[in-house]
Amino acid sequence: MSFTETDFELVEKFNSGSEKAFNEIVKRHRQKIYWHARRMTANHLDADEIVQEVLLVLYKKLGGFKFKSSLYTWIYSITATRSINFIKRRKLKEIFSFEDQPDAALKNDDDIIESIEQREKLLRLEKVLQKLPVKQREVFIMRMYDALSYEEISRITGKSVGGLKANYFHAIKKITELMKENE
Amino acid sequence: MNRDDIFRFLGGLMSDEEKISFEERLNKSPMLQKEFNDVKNILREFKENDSIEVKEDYFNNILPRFREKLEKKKSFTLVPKYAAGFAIVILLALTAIFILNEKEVDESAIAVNDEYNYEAVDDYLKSYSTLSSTIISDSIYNEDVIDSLIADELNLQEHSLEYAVSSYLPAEVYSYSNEEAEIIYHELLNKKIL
Repeated sequence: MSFTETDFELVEKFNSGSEKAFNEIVKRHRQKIYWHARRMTANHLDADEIVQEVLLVLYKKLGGFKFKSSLYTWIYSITATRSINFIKRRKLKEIFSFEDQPDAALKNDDDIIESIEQREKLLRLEKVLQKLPVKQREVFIMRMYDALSYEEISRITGKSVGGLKANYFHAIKKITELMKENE
Repeated sequence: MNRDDIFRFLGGLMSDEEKISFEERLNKSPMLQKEFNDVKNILREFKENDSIEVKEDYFNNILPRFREKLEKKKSFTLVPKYAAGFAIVILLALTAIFILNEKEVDESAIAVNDEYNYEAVDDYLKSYSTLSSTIISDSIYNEDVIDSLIADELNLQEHSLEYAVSSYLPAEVYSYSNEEAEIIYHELLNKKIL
């Protein structure tokens, strides 16, 4: 499987029955999927669950993908939706649970980050992100970490550019206030 | 509102003219510059955390674990279909067994077993026979009307009444009209058989 194969070629091969083509698509996008989910949920295990969900959706729906957008946009869109749905489910569980739920950012026993220093730094930033409303968090992550334009984010999320700009404005304002409080 | 202008500038919410105006103010104001740099440094901290060293095994294992789950899902999805089909078959079999085993009513047995009412029937029918001789018969066959009325009053099943009545009643009884049957019925009630 050549690294220079385009996404289109890989999808065509998958539709012809090539499982290797699917594997190659996953290899190209798995880190993006994981890190978006990780930043949205602030938890490795939750992010891992979302990754598996996204791959399952990908596997089932790739055959029907018609390249109306880029494959990257489509995969990111699935990841963003699954992440938000997961967070909503987690919130419901917390509401209906009679036990105190530990902070999501603290459930990192199985974290994959090797350096303790980096893990603690990430934990601090994840705690701040978790205080943002989900929509603000999402656009902040896409702008900050993936350097996506508002137009690209609009294609991924289906939200208007104006709405995304407003969410980003409030996100960076809130983050600045929270980080100053933590100093 | 300097701080909000900083966020609007960094968020790309300013028009071109607004950006130019803001940059001019930024150049002229050290305080604004300091606030602007503080915000940028905070945001940079998030960006720097983008490159984190992680256990590479994790990403290498994502696909094999996914394949494993996929295989399990494929085998699991078959079971509910078979379970549903099996449940329907069981339900149909139970329904068929129930219908086939429904007991047929043994009329003669019931008639014989209604012993507790037999004496009352006996007395009643003797008086009924006397009454019936005064009634003019009709061409209309009213066996069912009479039987159901009498059976109802004596708290008997119709078929057991038929068994008992056939021993006593003259044939004319079964050819009474509706009106005649009603008269007989009310006269029987007045005789206080029950």
